[in-house]
Amino acid sequence: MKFRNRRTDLLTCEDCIHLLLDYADGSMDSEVRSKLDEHLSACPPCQHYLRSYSSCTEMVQQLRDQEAQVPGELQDRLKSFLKEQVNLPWPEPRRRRAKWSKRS
Amino acid sequence: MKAKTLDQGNLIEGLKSRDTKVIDTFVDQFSRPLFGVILNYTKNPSDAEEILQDTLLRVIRKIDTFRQQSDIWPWMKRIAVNNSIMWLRKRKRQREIQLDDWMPRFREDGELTYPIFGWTGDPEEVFLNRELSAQLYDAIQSLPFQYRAPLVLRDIDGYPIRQIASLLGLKEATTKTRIHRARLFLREKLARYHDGRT
Repeated sequence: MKFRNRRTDLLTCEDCIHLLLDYADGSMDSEVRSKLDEHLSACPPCQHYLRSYSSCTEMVQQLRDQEAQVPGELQDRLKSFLKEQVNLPWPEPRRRRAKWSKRS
Repeated sequence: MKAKTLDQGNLIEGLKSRDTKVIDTFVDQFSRPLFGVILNYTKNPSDAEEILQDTLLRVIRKIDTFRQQSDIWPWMKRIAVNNSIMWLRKRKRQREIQLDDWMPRFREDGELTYPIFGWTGDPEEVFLNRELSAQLYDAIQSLPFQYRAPLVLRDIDGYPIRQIASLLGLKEATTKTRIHRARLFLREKLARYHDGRT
């Protein structure tokens, strides 16, 4: 992997922030991870950035499987609709045009 | 009053035979959680209602293809997710925000150009603080579809990157970049919210 600061092979803040997804998701190889850890240990702004990035991701995860209010009137409409539709035939899937067929 | 619920075996048999009472219970039992999944992809109520209606109908029509050994909820949820993505792809583009305005900026030497406002939040705060939860939800919804879909699939619905890439017809690297940019955007939105800049 090539980093921005090729001369010293040390990571910059820009490298660090570009790598946060793999870092936060735990899908980073150990060599890159140790370089990133080295940068983080000496860079408070990136430490703040990583903490808020991870916090934000965890907050989004809290939205998982949240139930929503479904108004009773909508439920009634859904029930009527489903009973009306379930016995109707499915629309036939459109057939793909064969590759060799001539366009009219 | 608590709605009546059915066990999985009775639900499946009832839906297969198009039993109207089972259809009623199915709507009572699953419309709320499915609506919750769909609302992560769109906040437009009329779109969400149509997607929900179509999802419930697809579940009934495809019930013969469901393998009874497994839990039915992930299967239903996948139908809702696929349906939401298909539906939103068809929609005309709405006015979209420019993500670049919310990305971190760097100096020539690669250092950040501005001080980072350091905030961390307890994830549980999303449940306790309605204003924060609304900010987060609105921020997700304001993302353009090409960023919102991979983010929701990854961080809310918990799909692996490979599956998201396949579902959206993207390369894995592109999928990861989009999730990352979406997260950077949300981070910045919440940072400004915490900093009182919104």
